[in-house]
Amino acid sequence: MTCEQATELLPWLLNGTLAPAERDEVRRHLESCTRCREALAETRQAWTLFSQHLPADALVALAWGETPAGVDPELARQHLASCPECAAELELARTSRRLENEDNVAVFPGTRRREVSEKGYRGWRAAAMAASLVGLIASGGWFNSAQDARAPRINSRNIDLSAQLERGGEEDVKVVPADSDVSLLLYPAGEPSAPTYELEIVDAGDQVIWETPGLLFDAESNGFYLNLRAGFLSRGSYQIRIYGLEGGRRAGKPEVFDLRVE
Amino acid sequence: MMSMSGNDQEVVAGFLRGEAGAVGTVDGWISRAAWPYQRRLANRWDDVLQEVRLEVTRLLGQGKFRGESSLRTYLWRVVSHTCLDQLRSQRKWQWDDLDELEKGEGAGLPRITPSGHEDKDLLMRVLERVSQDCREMWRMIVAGLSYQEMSRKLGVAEGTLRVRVLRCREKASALREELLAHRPGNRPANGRNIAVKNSPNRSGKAKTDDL
Repeated sequence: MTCEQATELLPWLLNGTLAPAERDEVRRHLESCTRCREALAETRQAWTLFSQHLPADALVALAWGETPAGVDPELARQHLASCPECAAELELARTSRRLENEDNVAVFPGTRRREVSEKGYRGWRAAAMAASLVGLIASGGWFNSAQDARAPRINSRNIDLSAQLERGGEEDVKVVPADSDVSLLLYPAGEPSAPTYELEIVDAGDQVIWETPGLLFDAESNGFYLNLRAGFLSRGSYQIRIYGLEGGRRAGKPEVFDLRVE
Repeated sequence: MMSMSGNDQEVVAGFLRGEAGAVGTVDGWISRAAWPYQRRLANRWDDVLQEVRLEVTRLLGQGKFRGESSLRTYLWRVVSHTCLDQLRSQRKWQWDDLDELEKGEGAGLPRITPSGHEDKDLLMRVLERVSQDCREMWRMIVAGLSYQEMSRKLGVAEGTLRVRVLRCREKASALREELLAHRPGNRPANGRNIAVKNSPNRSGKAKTDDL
């Protein structure tokens, strides 16, 4: 192997994708070539350079609406425009900050946790951000019958409801009071990919006691909003099921959340 | 400097004494603030929360909270910062075997491990001046694509791709040297170039102390 060949392969030696025979040949060459070992050090420097991201404290500052210290604001803006990882992390920090300010929103884990690959996260995030804008606009109205003032509401973030949430209960079983209004943010375990969703609330006897289409995934908060009015659900155990809808039909398995009203 | 509110003082003191009420309050804030990161850190979520709690305990114990914001806001930011660090640690690459190869070589270049704001700023400037094509190719490399995959994705012959990546690396290196040479303090009044000392290597972990 020549120096030119070895030097050209160094970036892929670093990311571990060379075929075993190629990798061994490059390594053997490096063991005996000072110049190429210098090139390896330079390639690692380049790696450090090209994997630069905005510092975590800069992202936190931006999420809190401040100018980040130590980073030129214009540079930060340009970087965010071209770096999907930093842009996604800033969204997470902003979501966290919103939860600080919105006490009436409960956070609620899904019943199954599945690791989302970096590639997959980047892939649907862009589409979800666009969809969430629709969700925000749509959430200004009510999707439920006006005949029952106690009926739950969906998609609305900024509802002025008093929330007296109880902690505890079994893992993944959310306990809520029967006599208070409460907002739930339902966090799916799977990757949300349907254009819209249908939500149903099922009692312990598997009877559907309430259902509605038109549920939208809120990409900013990474979940679905459901507002339960006091007294709508009597004491007992329930399941909230969320189905993806495609072409008006339920697609795939539902996201399931266990609820206990006390 | 603002002084801490009485209530915040009580919570900090109670938390550090291990009082159930204060611990419950702080833990509740931690869980809520960390929640958005749960999906991306799901495979080690309990460890992440523990790491966050340790960091909060460390900072409060060292008196780092000075009342410039409410305790709640302060802790919210600490949690975000720590979770972002945890996300980034998942992407870190280790090259222990290549370290061995380089060890015997005295002429090896000093490793860049920026952590100071100045170093970071320099690298960000270099990065933004490098062409979009270069950034894209190297992002694919850092993301773990083989040169065969990159060649297919970019519609470029493998040999051509490898040469382009090498030229990118050389250009970025030259840009960095150029920016370093023009940094204030690096040029004497008579304009002659001098050798530039690299910053000492420091831990790459971002610090929450200054939040």
